[in-house]
Amino acid sequence: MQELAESLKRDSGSKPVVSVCRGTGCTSSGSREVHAALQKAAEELGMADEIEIKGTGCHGLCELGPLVVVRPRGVFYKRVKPEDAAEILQKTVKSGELVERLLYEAGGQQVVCEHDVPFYKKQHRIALRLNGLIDPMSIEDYIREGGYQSLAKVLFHYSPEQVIDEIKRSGLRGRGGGGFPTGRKWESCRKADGEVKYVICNGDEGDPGAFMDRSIMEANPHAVIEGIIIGSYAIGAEQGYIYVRAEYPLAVRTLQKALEQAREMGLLGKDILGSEHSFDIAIARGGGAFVCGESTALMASVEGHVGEPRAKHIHTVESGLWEKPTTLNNVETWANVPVIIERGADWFASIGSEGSKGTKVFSLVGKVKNTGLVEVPMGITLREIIYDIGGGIPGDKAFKAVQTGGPSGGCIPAEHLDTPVDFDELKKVGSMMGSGGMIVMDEDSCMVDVARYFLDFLRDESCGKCTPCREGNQRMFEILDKICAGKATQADLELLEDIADVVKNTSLCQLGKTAPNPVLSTIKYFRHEYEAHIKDKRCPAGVCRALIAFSIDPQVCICCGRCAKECPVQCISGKKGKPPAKAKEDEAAGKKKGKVGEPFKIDEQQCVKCGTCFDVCPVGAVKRT
Amino acid sequence: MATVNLTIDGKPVSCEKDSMLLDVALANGIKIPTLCHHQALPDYGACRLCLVEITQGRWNWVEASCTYPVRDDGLKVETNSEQVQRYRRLNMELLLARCPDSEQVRRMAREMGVEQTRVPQDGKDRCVLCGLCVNVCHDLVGAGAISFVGRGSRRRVDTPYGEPSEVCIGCGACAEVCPTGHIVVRESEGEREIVPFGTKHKLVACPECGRGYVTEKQLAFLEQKLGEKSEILGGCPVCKGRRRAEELQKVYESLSTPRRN
Repeated sequence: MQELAESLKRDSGSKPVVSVCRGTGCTSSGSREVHAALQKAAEELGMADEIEIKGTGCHGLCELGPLVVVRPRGVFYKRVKPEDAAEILQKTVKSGELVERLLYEAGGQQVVCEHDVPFYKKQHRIALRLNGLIDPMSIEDYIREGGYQSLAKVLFHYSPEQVIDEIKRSGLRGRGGGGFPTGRKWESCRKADGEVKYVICNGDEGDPGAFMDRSIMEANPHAVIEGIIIGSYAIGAEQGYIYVRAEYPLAVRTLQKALEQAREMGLLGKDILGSEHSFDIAIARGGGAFVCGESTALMASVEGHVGEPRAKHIHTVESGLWEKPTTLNNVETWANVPVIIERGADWFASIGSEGSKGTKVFSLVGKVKNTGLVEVPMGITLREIIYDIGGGIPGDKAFKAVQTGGPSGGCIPAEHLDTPVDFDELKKVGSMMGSGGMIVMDEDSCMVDVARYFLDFLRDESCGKCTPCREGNQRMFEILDKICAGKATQADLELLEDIADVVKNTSLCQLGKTAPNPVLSTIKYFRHEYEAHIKDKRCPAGVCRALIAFSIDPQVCICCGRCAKECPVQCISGKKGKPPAKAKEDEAAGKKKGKVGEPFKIDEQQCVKCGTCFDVCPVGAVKRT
Repeated sequence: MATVNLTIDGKPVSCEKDSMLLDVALANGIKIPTLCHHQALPDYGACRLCLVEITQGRWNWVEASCTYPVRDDGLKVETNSEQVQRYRRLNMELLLARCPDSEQVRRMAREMGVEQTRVPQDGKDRCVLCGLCVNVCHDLVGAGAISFVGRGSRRRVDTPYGEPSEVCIGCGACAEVCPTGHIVVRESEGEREIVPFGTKHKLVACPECGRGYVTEKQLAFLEQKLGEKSEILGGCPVCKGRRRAEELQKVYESLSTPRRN
């Protein structure tokens, strides 16, 4: 493998590389067109043979896409348009000049290189290390960067026990949310009775707003595959499955292609690389049920049954898929494995916090300037992620809460912003690591409404098997809805807490056990908001429509009529013209009076409280109470 | 098989390793309320009424006893602690709000001290989604006529597309195991209907008494399963019982004659 990597390196020589991010975020902001324009421009300029234009996986800073990076220097261009293509090639690639308008700016300073952009500076990329460097559809690219050398190393120099020992010593814990020590899981599965064993990769990323695993599968499928093959060798499995939701068509295609390439090169199949280990991987596509991310539900789904969980007192490492010992790990966990083998357990264990080693990928979304994909060492604080990497809250608004761990995570308030991101620490503040969702909320978010939103998701995604999760989540949603509508009493709040308690403590699987987190954490940290809705019939953040009213201050209104023009239900009336007060002033000063307007008014009976008038008023005359 | 020792409500008990805790309690005369447990079927863990409080060393937690395999010595189990009662009542409250029309659910709730619910009693049918009917139809009968449909609060038990099932044999096992009276068998004029699925079956008359006793499909299904042994099917259970009684009487008579001599 090493020789192959070196020969590939020699072949590629030292051509400049222009990488265009073809991740989902950048593609939706137009990187397909930028990619095509770069290729066309290279032809037209006669540079096609001298440079390489590469469509890569997600670079991470989705907010500023489409992103283009010119290597070897690593010049970072943001929001690139197809018409910029020729200029980038001519200036940056040919003569080393910069296209200044496309550079990243921070505090009035332009930043040239990718690694100097504050978003990337504090990150430590292990699982995402090759995103942005390699073409996901090319196994040669992966091998050139050292790929599959870890596999060759374990097959010929390690016993399965040594592999397990290395993973155990690294301190790697499951990235899917549970945080179970990976090495221990593998060890139990290896020791479990049975000839036939399975390994599974859980790619059923179901959290709204999360795209960590998707980005890894789409950007670097071979890292996941290499990790799984190493795992299969350690455990003694001959068959593996990658479970991906069908809503990720690009991930499915990329993985399919990668599996074909790996089979062609003898990295999968009988006697891998001439060793005695035989193993193959099939893709199982899921129907997109959130509960199928739960390991036993996922296995039921692979078997062709309805995806619903079972009690896990008998662990899946003893009796999992088709009642055989099965090791299931998340995409990100698998992607970490080859790097741990390559660089050693000690190196990996030196990164992170006491109980959580290595790094974690988060999808940072919501009210934060730099939304995107970040990979940070464990133990970094939430504040560092949100402010240093995320760039803080847009529009100088106040931070209110961050929700970690997906829909069933808790909302963490400002007073806990210095909590280190770590499996155990996040639990202490009423949330969880989960698979890595991170949603930032500002002062404009109503925490009752936020809890209502997540419970709406969870009541729908509960499989419905056990009473507390099925009935309890539905009832919690109904009560939250009542609170948002201003129709709830203090007794409803007590009932909400009672139901949250029973759902948390008596549900069958982790979906149910964690579903009340959004409710419990918002009641814990934002009880005053609940009480404002219940006692004062007031929504402090001005979100819950039943509890807010819009009015126009006639003293401030400049009679421009924009509110009336934009109002979707035509409930604002008035007359465009000069404000009466101004007209009077002008008249007194002997100036022309002109057309006198009439301050605009909102008909409260007709108003649907959409807030458009509030948003469009240029002088802030529309008041929300 | 290894034996494990534990205490349930202070009473020392032993059982085979990996026995389900609920079975162990029931075998020792300790009653635990359930809706989704049936001795003929594997435990499913849906109703969450068989909760117990388990203490093991410094750990203490509430668990559904039906799916908890007893593996370690020294467990202390409380089947009616304050915490258990609290959670059990809350789950019962949720089920009662779902099935206010089920007499069985009402009675069970009353026994637990749940008369009222704080959430509206707006459930439309009597199904608690215990899964017994689905499991008996799939696993014991082997017909697979009904299944769970939908998820979350829209989950229900139904036939494919809500239409009368083609594979239903009309055996009525689903109604037999239903703990809440949601599924019932109705018979009239030589016809059997499985309610609420709307599956209708023609009944076969008993050759002796003429009473409809089995559906055509059920008879065919049994004949196929039994093969050569099908002859044991003949006639309705009442007539078969009478015939058997007459045979037995003859045996007794033949036995008692010599003894008198």
